[in-house]
Amino acid sequence: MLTDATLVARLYAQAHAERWRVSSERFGEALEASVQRAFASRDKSRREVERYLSALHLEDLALACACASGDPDAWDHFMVVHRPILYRAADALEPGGGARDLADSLYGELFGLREQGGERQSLFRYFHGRSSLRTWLRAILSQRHVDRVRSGRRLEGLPDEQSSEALSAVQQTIEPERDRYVKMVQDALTRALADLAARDRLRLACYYAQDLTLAQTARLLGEHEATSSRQLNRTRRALRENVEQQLRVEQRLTEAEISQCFASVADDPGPLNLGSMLSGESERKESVLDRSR
Amino acid sequence: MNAPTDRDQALERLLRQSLKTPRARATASCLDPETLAVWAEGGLSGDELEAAQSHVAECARCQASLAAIVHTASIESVTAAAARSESRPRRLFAWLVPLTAAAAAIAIWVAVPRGPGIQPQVAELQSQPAQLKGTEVPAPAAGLQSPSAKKEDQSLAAKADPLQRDQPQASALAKDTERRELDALKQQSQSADAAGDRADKPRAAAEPPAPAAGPVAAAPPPQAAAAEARQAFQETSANAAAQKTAASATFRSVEVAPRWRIAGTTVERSIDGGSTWSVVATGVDADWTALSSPSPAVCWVVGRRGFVLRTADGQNFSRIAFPEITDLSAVQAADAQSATVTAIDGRVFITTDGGVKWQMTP
Repeated sequence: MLTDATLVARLYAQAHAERWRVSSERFGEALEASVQRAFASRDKSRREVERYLSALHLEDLALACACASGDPDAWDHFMVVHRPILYRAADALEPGGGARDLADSLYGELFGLREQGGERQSLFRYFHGRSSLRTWLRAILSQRHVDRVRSGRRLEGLPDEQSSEALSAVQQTIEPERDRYVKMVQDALTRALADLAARDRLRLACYYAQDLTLAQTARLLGEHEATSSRQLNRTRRALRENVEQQLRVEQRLTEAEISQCFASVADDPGPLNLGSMLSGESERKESVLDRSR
Repeated sequence: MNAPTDRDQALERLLRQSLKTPRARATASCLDPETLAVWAEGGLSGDELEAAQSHVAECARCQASLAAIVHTASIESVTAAAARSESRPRRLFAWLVPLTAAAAAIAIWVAVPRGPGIQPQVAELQSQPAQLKGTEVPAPAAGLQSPSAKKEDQSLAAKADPLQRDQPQASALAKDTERRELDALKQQSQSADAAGDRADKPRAAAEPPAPAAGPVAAAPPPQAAAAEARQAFQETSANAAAQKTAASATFRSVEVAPRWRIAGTTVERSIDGGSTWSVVATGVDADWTALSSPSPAVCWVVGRRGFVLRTADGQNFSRIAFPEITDLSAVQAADAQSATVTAIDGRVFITTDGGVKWQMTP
């Protein structure tokens, strides 16, 4: 046991868990599960655990416990307070209202329609109170939405004749030299990106791929907006110099040819698959992550 | 393509396209929703944050999920900040309200000459801003708008979500709170003025008129007064960002009834001075954020995702096509044809032909 009875009683009172008829034992189990998950195999002192538990969103945790147990009052409260949040989030993700069905589909999982060993398997069991319930719900919804969009992309048809990709293919056959230049820049950029620190790559991805603002990017990276801006500029310059260097040294291109390379990607770089280009690097990084856990 | 800046731009274009390429699928090391949520709330640190950053730097799925949470957070932060700024500053400054009302009443009583008969509502509305400016409403009023109060409002708005601390919405909310407090102050002074007016009528009749140099001496003629009143009214109704909170803001038409208000996804109208409200069928389901009613028959309503409505008969709303799908935070209408709409990102759109064409100013 990582938590003692006195501490549980204090946190139980703070959480107003009695409002939802959550037993002290049940709440204690939820706290225990939260501690286990947060600290995993790490050593932890009693003070550390106490500080961690005190920082939890206790009221949300109590509500989640009650909802997981099927308490009708808790569910009423959840629906009144959190359903609009889910709907607003769904509308933010897909302004046409297309994500609302995702929000609706969550209720069944949250309630726990599936049973295992005679016990309902509510999605709430994955909520440990580290974030607020509303942010956790938004995170689930966001992840589901992203998965759906990504699975949808895999089903997209081939480009029609007028699409930019088709035009690009035609253009490439007309300008074989351009094709070669684009490929060179792509390869050089792939290597340059792989040389970057993970943090720099993440900053680039947030800003360029996810269209986050500088402020949002900075917030995610835990730095000042001005720092983010400066670092983005620095990284972009480093990438460009790295690409130029590769073209100059490895491809033995002249300055004029390097200029043509950049001009080629400035117009229309054509379809790129940097994901596959980075896959080797990605797998390597992931395996490092796996080992650390 | 020789200049470094040209090459940077070319590279930017390549980055924008290439980094959006999705990676295959979810892996076991993808971040779970709780970790994403904790990160979004600024709760990750140390090794945990480093590990999360290392993974997300490589994983398009987690990047997109995180970005989606950030996007949805902007809406929640507006709601939460509005809710907090609705309640707390009022508690903090509740003691200022009677003081402010009394000070304003005294200032107005001293400065404004009393004429016979009942002042029309237009003139009453018009006179308030002039009086408030002209008489330099003293300390309590100034206190309401003091930098510290502003700072507190801004910090409240900023605390709503760590991801959105420096978003324009937060400052818009702080400004909105200030504006509402100022409106409350005006209403207080208005009622105090009216009470003072009734109580002091005999004395006012006996006393000589106030010197011509007073604020009212500079008051414009009735038509200009109406225009100014309209302007003042529009100012109070223009910046109603994040009005989707439980409390609804009311917007009074300049001349006589009706009053309008927005409550989340509904537009409501009162024709009895605000005693009863009825929902107006707009035919559009959107989150409304602000409205402006320059005359009894005309009302413009704006909302999230570029929704704009207008009625020219005080009853039937029709949707106005808007050039961008963006959250709109304020509207200031002059009549049924002319309106200025402000987006949440600060861009301003102007129409002078009832929304057929919009002109954007950065």
